[in-house]
Amino acid sequence: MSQIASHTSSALHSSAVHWNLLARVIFSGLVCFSVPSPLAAQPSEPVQSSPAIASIDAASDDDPLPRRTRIRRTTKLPEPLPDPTIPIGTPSPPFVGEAPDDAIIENRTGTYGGRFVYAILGEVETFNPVEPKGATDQEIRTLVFSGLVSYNNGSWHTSPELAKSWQVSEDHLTWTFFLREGILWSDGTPLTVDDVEFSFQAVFHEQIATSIRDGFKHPETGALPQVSVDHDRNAVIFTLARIDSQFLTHLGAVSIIPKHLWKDHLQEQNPTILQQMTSNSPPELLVGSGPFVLKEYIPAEKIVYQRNPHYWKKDIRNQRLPYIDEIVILLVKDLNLQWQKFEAGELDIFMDLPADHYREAVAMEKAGTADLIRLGVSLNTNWICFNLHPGKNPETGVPYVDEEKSYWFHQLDFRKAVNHAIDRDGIKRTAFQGRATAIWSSVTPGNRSWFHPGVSTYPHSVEIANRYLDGLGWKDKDGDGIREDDQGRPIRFTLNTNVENNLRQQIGNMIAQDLKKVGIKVNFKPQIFNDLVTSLRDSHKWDMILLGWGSGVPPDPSNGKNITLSSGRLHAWYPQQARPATDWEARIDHLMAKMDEELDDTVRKTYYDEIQDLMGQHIPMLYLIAANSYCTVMKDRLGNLWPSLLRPQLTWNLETLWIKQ
Amino acid sequence: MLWHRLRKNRLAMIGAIILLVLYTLSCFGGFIAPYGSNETNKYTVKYGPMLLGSFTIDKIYEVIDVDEYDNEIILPNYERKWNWFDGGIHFHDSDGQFTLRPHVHPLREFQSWDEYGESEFLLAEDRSISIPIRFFVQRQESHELFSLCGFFPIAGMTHLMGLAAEDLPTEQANLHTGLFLFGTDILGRDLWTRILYGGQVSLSVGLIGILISISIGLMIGGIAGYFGGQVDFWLMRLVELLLAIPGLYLILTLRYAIPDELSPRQTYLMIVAILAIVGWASTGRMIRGMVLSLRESEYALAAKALGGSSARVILRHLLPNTASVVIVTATLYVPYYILGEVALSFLGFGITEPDSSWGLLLKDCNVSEVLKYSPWLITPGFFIFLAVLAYNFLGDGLRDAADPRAYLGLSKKADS
Repeated sequence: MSQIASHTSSALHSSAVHWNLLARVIFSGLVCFSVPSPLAAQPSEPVQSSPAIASIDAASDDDPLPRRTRIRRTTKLPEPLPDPTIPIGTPSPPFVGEAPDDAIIENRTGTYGGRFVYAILGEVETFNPVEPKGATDQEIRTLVFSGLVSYNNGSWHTSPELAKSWQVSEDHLTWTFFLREGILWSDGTPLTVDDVEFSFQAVFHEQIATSIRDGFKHPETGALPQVSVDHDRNAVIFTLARIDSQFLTHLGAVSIIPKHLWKDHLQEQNPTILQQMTSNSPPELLVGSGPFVLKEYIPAEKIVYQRNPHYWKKDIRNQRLPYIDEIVILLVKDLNLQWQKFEAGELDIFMDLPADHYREAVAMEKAGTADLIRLGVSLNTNWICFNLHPGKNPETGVPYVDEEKSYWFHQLDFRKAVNHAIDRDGIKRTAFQGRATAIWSSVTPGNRSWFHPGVSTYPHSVEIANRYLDGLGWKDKDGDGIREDDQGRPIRFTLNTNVENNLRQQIGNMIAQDLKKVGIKVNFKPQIFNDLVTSLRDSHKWDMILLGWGSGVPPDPSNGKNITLSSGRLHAWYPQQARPATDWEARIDHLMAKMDEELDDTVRKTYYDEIQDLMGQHIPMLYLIAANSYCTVMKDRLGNLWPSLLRPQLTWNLETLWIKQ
Repeated sequence: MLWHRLRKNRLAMIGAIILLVLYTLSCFGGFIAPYGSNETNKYTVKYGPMLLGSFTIDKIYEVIDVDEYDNEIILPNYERKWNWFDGGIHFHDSDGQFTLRPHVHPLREFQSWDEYGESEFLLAEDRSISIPIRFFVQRQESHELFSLCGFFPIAGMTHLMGLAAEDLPTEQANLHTGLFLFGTDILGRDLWTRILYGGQVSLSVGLIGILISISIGLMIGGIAGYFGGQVDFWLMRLVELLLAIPGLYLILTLRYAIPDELSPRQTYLMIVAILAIVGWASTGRMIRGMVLSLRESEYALAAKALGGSSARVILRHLLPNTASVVIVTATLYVPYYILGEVALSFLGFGITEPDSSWGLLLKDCNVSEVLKYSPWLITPGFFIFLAVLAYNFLGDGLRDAADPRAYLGLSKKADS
């Protein structure tokens, strides 16, 4: 280090005259900044304006009168329509053989060819679809594999995929799925009901650790559905242990894997199936029935896919899908980097546009280089939560939450006061730059099917907050600006959030400021995310936490059991309760169980409305705000886009997208 | 002698004066700043620096919308324009009369709608009113006015300058006035205030850090150099070990080990200590080299022969003779601590919100949109640059002044 230092200083020496000059400039600049001298701040004529400013002036001169346009609100994103005049083109690599008679016919048209480039944040952990690990693995799974059914992000409905149709018995316990005939794996081998049975055997195998299985389990007994095969009818039959309204959702999460390649790895004891097709395996071994096959994978750089020559969907002109020849997914580590790549034209789309880049995206839209797609209010929430855990650390016998803090947090009026004290409009204007919506429950207005407008709201009011706190007898007795509780203990606690997220740091700071105004001292401490998760799940050593939920697909509240149920691992305020701690939590558990067994969605919604009402009345979690959701697409680049609020916003229907040249 | 020679070096003197100004600014930061360290304001988000100009607004077009009763309503779309050295701090009152007292215009909020039904709030000057900047203004709340690098705070309500509450226009709801010499940040806080408070951390981190690392360096270097042999061997291997570890990663690891219950001030001291623990190694090695040669000098041998204990010889005779080198090294090393704090805070491992430091302030600029649309948020970077440069100038000058050979060389040149 000393060598570097001496080197730098000698370099400074050699150009001493130059630096001297620079130092003078800087020094004089400093003096003029620190004292507003008359010279520096004299109101001068707007003379030497920079070229950028001049061009804005010129533009406004051309168009002196304000124009008028009508607001075009994006209420529903329409399904793309077919256009028979589009040329067909030639696929490269070409298709092999003919599409099966049973092929799904998509109501689309498009031109073959082209290369589609986008980026995802993070790294591939495994290509194995039996247990996709990270969000990335989950997202790329559907490129190569398909399930019996799939969820249509555009229409928000489950639709048939490998299963042509299905029958449900009177008691809703036996489901028969009829497989499409003539479907081939990407290596040309026929896909049969045995493959389907094999895939479910893998997922249901006791010694295979996969989160996909959890959805199928009976909540009390843990029993799994029985799978059997009817070769004559080309059908797979599931016998359920109870009525499950979410069965199709769970079914869609299971990718069908080729038995002829993987059968030796599903041993009774110590199956090795999860060790197959990790990120180290050669790409040609990844045989699937999805629209694409893996061509190349370079860790930390990119994944390249090309057309599956045996894919089994067609468009209305009887052309086989997919249209796109090649898909390149760049693996980037940083959102800013991803944005810069998009701005430079290296990427065709940018999904989940962060608020930070909105203005740049608008600038690109105005310049005519990209389209900004406004998707409405996101389904992802930001919330704060008090630690209501009454337990003690079993090793030390020390309560997880300090006794006085636990006393405050358990006061409903205190939580109401905090909810009133938080200025959601302030958070919206600062952290989100105006592009967000205040929320009062776990379901944002963006979720058209489940949003409950009647939930209790706690509008920002310092007076109401003060009234609640005064009512508790917690007043500032010593005049230091911090209230003391009825036993004279000053009300101060810590607010944590993850330090990696700039947005949350800003929200947390605003909340601390808001609570200061009602006499509550919040010590805001951003933390490293892993530490935060550890304290939330295991050590329970936190006071108040600021985090967010991302929405699952489909956006059905039944998929949030680990949050809503009192026994859930992510039941943030008091996780993994042995039995519900309060009556209302017991009622919520009961309603969640009823939602599972009810098949009518309107009835299920009344149950979940009641859950939201209960959560709104008892406010264990204070839902804050949901950002507006945007994505951007390069101008005139992609055909058949059907943007969706649900992730992945643009790439969920890759087989029907086509590249405009 | 040293001082005499230093005074002749103009670069070094400029560096010294810059540092003096910066340290004075940060010590009296609370007094000089018009606001408290963390006064967020949701209405004044990302307003430009009033020292350099102002934002004004132009109506671009109108959009037609329907309200809930199907009546057409007309909403404006505005575009905001930056005017260099126009508006901002100015010297005329509301009637347009010239005055020596600086004034600012109040800021008015405009809601601008686009054709997709999205709106944003734009803040621009209302030039019909001028508000005088008052000196020695009284604020409602008590703030920290003076502190020595964040310690020994003295609180009070008088600020050097600011807007007096009685001058503010009261009747209009969407006027959000403030004195923002360097603009405001993402949370609507005055950037100049944040810079002044941030300086307390950023400037003292180097001083405290160098104090710790030089102390350790002197101790280890002195012992190793004086005793030599096995002691020297093992201590130098330890130094090499420390030098071989990639510094930033060691810092990150150590930062991870800091318990979470510490107060921000304690966390900050821990960060300094971490920086110093990594930083003493090369200083120690240098001291060791000097002591190694000094211990053979006659006065050291004499002190030893007269029965001085090892500690006495090291402390009274050897280390004082390294003083000039130590001072020079210390000055040249302070920038590493300042930049180290910047790197740590930028990565989220250093100072965190709601505290302030120059590195943390610079963190807001890691998004390209900020650089494009709110470039004044880089100002803290300019202060970092200034401080680092000043320390290098001063250290360089000090070294020239302390180095007799350089001095001789100069005089020889002068003679010939």
